[in-house]
Order: sequence, then C-alpha cells, then structure tokens
Amino acid sequence: MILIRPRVIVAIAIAIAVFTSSVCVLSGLRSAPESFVPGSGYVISSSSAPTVFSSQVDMDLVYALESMDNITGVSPEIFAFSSFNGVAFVVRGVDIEKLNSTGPRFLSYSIEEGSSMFSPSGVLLGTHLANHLNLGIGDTLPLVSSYSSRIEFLKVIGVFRTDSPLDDEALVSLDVARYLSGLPAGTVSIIRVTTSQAEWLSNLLSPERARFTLFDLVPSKVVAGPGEPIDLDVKVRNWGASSGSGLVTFRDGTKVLAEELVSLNASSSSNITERMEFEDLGVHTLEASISGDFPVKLSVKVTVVEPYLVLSAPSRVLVGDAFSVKVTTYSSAVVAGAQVSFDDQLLETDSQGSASFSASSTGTFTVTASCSGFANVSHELAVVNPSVYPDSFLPVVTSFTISPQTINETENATGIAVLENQGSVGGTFDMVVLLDSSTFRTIPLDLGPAQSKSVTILLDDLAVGTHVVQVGSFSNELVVQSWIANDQDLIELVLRYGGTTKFSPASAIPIYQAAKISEGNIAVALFAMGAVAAVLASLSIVSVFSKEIRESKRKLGILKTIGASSSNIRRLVLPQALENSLAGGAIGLAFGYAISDGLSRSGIFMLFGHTLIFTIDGAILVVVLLGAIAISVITAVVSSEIAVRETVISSIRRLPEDRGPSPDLESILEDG
Amino acid sequence: MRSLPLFRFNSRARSTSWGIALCTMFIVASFSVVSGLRTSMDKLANNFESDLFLVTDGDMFSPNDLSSIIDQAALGAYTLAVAQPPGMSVTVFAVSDPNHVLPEVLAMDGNDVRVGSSLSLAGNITLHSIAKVDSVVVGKYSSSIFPSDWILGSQSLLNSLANRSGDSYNFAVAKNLSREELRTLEGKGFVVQPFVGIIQFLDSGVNEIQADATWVLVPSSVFVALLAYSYIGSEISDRRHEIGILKTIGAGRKKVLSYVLSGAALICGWGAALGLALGIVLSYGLATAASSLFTSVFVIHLQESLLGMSYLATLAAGVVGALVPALRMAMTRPVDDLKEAF
Repeated sequence: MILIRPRVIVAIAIAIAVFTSSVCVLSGLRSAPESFVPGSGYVISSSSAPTVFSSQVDMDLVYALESMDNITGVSPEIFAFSSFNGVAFVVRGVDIEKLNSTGPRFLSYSIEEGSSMFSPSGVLLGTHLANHLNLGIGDTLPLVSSYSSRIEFLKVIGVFRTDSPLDDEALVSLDVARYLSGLPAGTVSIIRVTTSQAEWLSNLLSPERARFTLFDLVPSKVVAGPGEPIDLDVKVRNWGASSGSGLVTFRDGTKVLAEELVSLNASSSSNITERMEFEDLGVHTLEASISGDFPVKLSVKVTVVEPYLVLSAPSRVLVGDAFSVKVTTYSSAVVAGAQVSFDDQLLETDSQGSASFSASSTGTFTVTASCSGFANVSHELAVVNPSVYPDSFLPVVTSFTISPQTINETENATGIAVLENQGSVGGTFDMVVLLDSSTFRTIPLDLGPAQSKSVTILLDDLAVGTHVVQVGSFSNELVVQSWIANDQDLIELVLRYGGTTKFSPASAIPIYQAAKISEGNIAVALFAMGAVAAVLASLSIVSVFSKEIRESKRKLGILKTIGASSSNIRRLVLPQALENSLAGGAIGLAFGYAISDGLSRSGIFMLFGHTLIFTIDGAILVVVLLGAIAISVITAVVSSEIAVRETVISSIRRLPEDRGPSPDLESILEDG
Repeated sequence: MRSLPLFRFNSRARSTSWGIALCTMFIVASFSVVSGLRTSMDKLANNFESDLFLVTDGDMFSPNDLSSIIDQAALGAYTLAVAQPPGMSVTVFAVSDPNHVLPEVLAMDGNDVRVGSSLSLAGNITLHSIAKVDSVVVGKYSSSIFPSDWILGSQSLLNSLANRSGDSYNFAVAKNLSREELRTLEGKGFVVQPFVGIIQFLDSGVNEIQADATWVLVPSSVFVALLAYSYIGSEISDRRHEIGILKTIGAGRKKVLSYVLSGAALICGWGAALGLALGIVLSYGLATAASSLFTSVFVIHLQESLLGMSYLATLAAGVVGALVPALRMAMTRPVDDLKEAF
C-alpha cells in the first residue's frame, strides 16, 4: 500500500539541493582568505601584523630561503589595495621570475608588442579583472596608494589567465607596489614558499630553541688614521623560544679580530662593543657574523688613511671680495700654523685654524693646506665676475632632504636645505618651511653674492601621522609613529629575520581580521548557518511527509481498524519514507552540487576583489553527504512516527473538534 | 467580507509558524552579520582619512568639464616621453593648482623641467613624445603625491610634447568632494578614486559581501515555500469538505483561492514576525557569545530596511508556496470535494 507518493521526491530534492548548495557556498566563504595566496605552498607573514594588509617581512629572508636545499620556490609579494570605477581589486607586487617558481602557472597570456612581462612601468591584468574594469592592452590604469596620497598611472601591457585568484588581480613590479603600499625598502608583505619539507621549514621559522640574529653594526668612525682606535658596535638578539648562547665573530676580511660568546634569554637583546685599530692603510671590510640555521653576516667599511687635513672654504666668491678658510684635522681638531696657499698668496693659520685671503682675479683656483705629519688637502674655488650674475638677489633652494623619514612621537627629524644665491647682490632671504601646506618655520638667511648655504631645519613637536614638509619646490614625507606601535613586535620587525615571521598554510591568512573579526567568529557564524540550513531542510521534508501522511489518513485508519499495530504501521511507512527521502536526497545532492558549481563559475560571488571559488573538497563532500543522509533518515523516522500517532477515529471520520466552528453560511451568501 | 474560519491555529499551524520563524531568523541573522561587517569596515575606513580624490576619464578633458568643482581641484596632465640623453622612458607631467589644493607647490614655466629625486638627469635634454622639445633640467623635485621617477614640466611643455593646444588635462586632484559632487562627476563619465585606496577597497569589498548575503534569501525562501506548501496541503486535505460546501453555495474559484492564500499569508506573517524577534535576539546573542570566546568581534547592527525585506521575502515565499495546493483546491469540482471528504 502506497502511503507516501513518489512525488514527494521533488520537494525533498529541492530541500536537499538548497542545503547542499548552501553548505558549498558557506565553505567557499570559509576558504575565501586563500584567494590572497594562489597556488600551493605556504605563506610567511609578519607575526605582529594581524592582517596581510599590514604584514611586513624582511626581504633578506627571501635570499636566505633561496639558498636552502629543501626550498623549491620563493616568491616575495607586496599587497597594495586599490579600486577603479567602483571595482575593488588587489594590486600584487611580484618578481615575475620568482612568482614562476612558486606558481600558479600562467596558462595563457597576451603581451603588448615590444613589451615584456618584466617591464617595471607596466601592469599585467588577470582576465577576470580586465573584464571587470573593461580595460585592455594599451589602456592606462590610474592607481592610488593604499594608505597615503600617492598616485601612479600604469599602462596595461598584458592580460593573463592562471585559473587561480590571480585572475582577479593586477600584477605590478615590487617597486611600484612598494611605492603604492608605502612599505619600507627591503620589506615585502608576504613570502610564498614551496618546500619539500613543510615541517622542517615550520620549525626553522618558529624555533623552540635559542636562535640569534645580529643588527645595527655601527663603527665609531668610518675614516681613521693608522693606530687610531675604532669601536665596532653590534646588537645581538635571541628570537628563539628558549635561552642560549651564540658566538659572535668579528673579522677584517678573512682575519678573525675577535670572538665573543653571548648568552641571552628568549626574546632579549644585548649590545657588544669591540675596540680595534688598524695600521694598514686602505679600505677594511669589517664583518660581524653569527652562525646557525640562519647565519647572519653584517659588514661595514672603514677606511684607514694617513693623517690628513680638512679644509673648509667657500666654493665660489666674487672677485675683489675677501674670504676665510679653516683647517682642521680629520678628527676635527683645529690646526694652527698650517700653510695655506691660494693664487699667489701663502698664509699660516691662526690659533683658530683660520686664514683670510682676498680674491683679486677671476678664474678657478686651488686652495691647498699643508702641515707636517699630515697629508696635504686641496679645495677648488671659483672666483667669479659679478657681471655674469644677474644684478639682483636671487635666492633659490637647490635641494632638500629629511633624515630620518620615519620617527616616533616626541622624536625629532632633521631637514637639510641647500640655498643658493644665483645673483650678484647679497641680501637676506626668509626661507619658509611648510608643514602640510602651513608655515612651520621661517628662517632668515644672509647670503652674499653667488653664495650658497646649507641650512639645518629641526622638525620637532610633530603630531602622529604622515606630514608633508616643503621647502622651495622640494617636498618630502615625514612619518611620525605613535609610541604605542613601538612594542616588542614592532621592534622585532626591524630585525633581520627572527620574530618577524609567521609560517602558515594558505587558508590561515586572517583577512577577516581587517574588520576586527577573528577567524573564529567567522567559523562559528558559518557553522551556525550550515546547521540552521540543515534544520530547515529537515523541517521542510518532515512537513512534506506530514502532508502526505495526512492525505493518506483514511488508508491508515482502515489499516488500524483491521488490526494493524503501531509497529506494522511503522514498518509500512518507514521504508517508503526512507526510499523517497534517499532518492530525493541523491537527486538533491547532484542538483545542489551543480547549482554551487554553476554559481562558482558564474563569478557572481565576490569577496575583497576576488571571485569566490567553491572548491568542493573531500571533507566538504563527506559533510554534505552525511548531512543529506542524516536528514533523509531522520525525516523518514519522524514521518513514520507521525503516521503511528494518527488515531484511528480521526483517520476514518471527522470529529467536531477537528472541524472547528462551522462556516457562517448566511454571512458568506450575503457578502458573496 | 468577514474572514472564513477555515483555518485554525492548531498544533500544525504552530509548528509551521515556528519553522517559518526559523527561516526568517536565518535571514535576519545573516543580514545583521553583514551589517555588522559594514559597521566594522566603516570604523576601519575612518582610520584612513583622506579628503583628496583622483579624477580621470581615460582621455583629455577641459577645465569646463570640471566647472562644478574647479575651485577645489588641481588640474594635471601627463604624457610618456623619451628623455635624451640617456634615452630613457619617463613620464612628464604638469600641474596647475591656483587654488592650492595640493599639499605642495609644483609649478614650472617655459621648457624648463625639474626631475624627480630618483632620476639622475641634468643639463640639456631632449624630450621626445609626439613631438620633440629641447629642455633644460633646472633642478630636482620631490613630492608626496607624484612618483620620484617622473619629470615636472609646464603645461605649455606638455602641450608641445603632445602637439596639443589650449587647456587640456588628463587628471585632476580634487579636494573635499561631497556625495552630490561625486555623483555629478561620475554621471559625466569621470572615474573618481579617493586617495588612500584602502578606503574604497574596503568599501567595495563590503558591498560585495552585502550583495553575496542577499543570496541567503534564496534558500530561506525555498524552505518557507516548502513549509507553506505542506501546511496548506494538509489543511486543505482536512478541510476539503467545508470548502466543498462553500463552493456548493456559490463561492467562486477566486474566493476559494483568496481564502486559502490569506490563510497562508496569516501563518507566514505570524511566523515572520516571530522570526524577526528571534533573529534580533540571536544576532545579539551571537555577538555576545563570540565576544566572550574571541578577542575581537564585529558589532551587530540591524537595519530597519533589512528587517522589512526579510519580512516581505518570508511572506511572499509563503504565499508562492501555498499557491500550488491552493490552485489545485480552487480548480476541483464541489462534488469531488464532498465525495472525497467522506
């Protein structure tokens, strides 16, 4: 006896198809972060950065990794984030050759005639992105910087296809991406690595034992006389998880100068100073090194010269003017009694090391200073005719630099501007220093005819943020960081290797944290949605079964009347329900898979500039399959129980309480 | 007309309305998660303030084209050229900024140029684009906006290089654009990119997620339709006798259809209202629970429009689901209804 008609298969198939496609879409969302890491392999990102947006990894690590046997590919990459015409996309800075070593492989590409994929001033667009932006080869793509006010116009030199998330991105050179992202020189956002020994690499980058690095190798002097002591200063840090000792070696070429054993606790630093002196004249390459898995070698050049003089003199004076020179030793000590010659004049320096001359004829002259025990020193001086210069005061700023370009709050930076009078009349010039378009400082300067001056500008009391400092037609950016950012992790960022890196599989890139959402939040939300989808599918199927049983209640009533027990009813209904639900489930699974595959291929689901690709891996397939079977079985059991609970009386005749109040026929007839 | 008491709020109606409520709750919770994401993203975007916008249209334009914002824009032009010596490709640009929109002053006259700080050009050079122009490098520039490997020239130099005449530009940097001004520019075909690209990147990313989230309506609506279909099917099966009587005494197909569908609308309306309430509670519950489990969490934010959309979607799906059994019932003959019922 058929109690559940086969047509329920349609409803069940719809419910299971919706459940399957929902789970596939949810799993696609879960794996969305992988779109930032196309291809296979692992990702090295900064451990202190919560997202790929702010990750910074030292480029030196690339070279260190490349030299290792177990590493099969290393690709340093920089993320910049831009948008054009309302379409957000990732601008990925790559070294094309290194990208080829890790994949994904370029399945096809077209390049502008005469251009190369390695062109630093062009941009390569993935096929999806080119379609979204409606741009083709030869078009210009205007880009704005991710975090600051910088722009760049790049010519589209090629379009490529990889069948990976790279197809949604724009590939540029590392330099362009670094300019747009504002990353410091020598750093990249992430390093993608392919390795034959993942566990080995993971251990290497996240050591349990002590591991050392060297940084900040600074000599007290870069130029010294024979036998003059030089202090060589270097910092050493243990970035491992336990304390230990490391041997720091100082060399001059191949000659070992000194060795020092350093013991450090985990995550602590120390300073080592070695005093040395050299008799041999010439350039000495001083090297500090420490061995280990990541051997670090720092070097600095020191030149040993004969004791020499330093001559301070103007480079240009007007004919008829007097000028003075000053003589000091290489170590800045004043030299009295030094012989200084200019033109046909020969003078001795006074107790202040100074001598005054008069420029009587035009031309280029050599001012020479000499003193016993020191090498002579010369200086070119141009004596010019005022008539070749405009008869006016013409001050011009010829250069302006800032050092350092990044400081912490309350620290100072120094700007150096060179001012040149391009006229033959002296005067006073108010040099205006603009900070973010407002006057920061006005410096009055006296400039003689054709004179140039170097001016030091103190940049202090600056608020946290990025500032633009302008002098004349020169402007430079100065970044003032908050002290709060200067925590241990940030300090570690400036170290060469250690502590800066986090080794993770591609799926662990925590892109969601950009929105202050932890990966766990998303996992919980997606799991909850999947569970609710399963419950809803079950409820719908039970509801459909319930309807079928309701419509077969007279048959059930007859069966019960002729003596069918509850177990007989159960035995009759359960197989039918199971058969229909499993058949519907199988059809629904197939349809659901097809729907999700269609949605994936259509590219309608986008997330942070990447098309969501719903890769149905084995685990998801098992979850969906088990879910569909569970839903089928549970709904079949529930429907058989519903059938069992149908009472005999209510099945075969209508009781007044089942019918409810009778229709008010009079009012219906009146209204109708 | 007084409503016909064909449908009662019995246990079946209660369980169906709970099922529908669950679907609506699913929609509301999904929407609130996405709204929370939008709120979090907006907060994040606020960390990157910028009041400058890059305006381009892929071709040259005249100042008249930007007349509505001309007082708050610096106009610029650039062209690719080859500088000789040494025969290197460079971008030559000029900026006209009479309103001091840019944070720096970049102005040149005649054929003199300044080269970016990373270029080592000096002295006399020839720039070759469409036309050749002899020029003199009079110094260097550094800029917080323009790359350090470009060459700064005057507008007349750019015109000579590109064989153009008059005021024509291919980019502008605008300041403090209102939404209305943005819309006007985009309406004229300009592409407007806020400086600090991460803002629009995040904004566009959240828009994508919001668009993706509307797909939640599809599975939920299918489930609501299935529930309504089953509920109305069962009710019709139980009440076929009464409906048969109604038809006998003159109730037309439209009236029967309206009776059945109003019943479906009633149960879906009630379920949807329940679902909205549950969805709101669930959203805040989820946010609170997640806050205690993880270090940071998004802020749940509910929008009235999304709640309205959830309610209407549930109602519509329920009515559509009930349409199949309702139509079937409306089409049957009264005599068959009465015969079948007994």
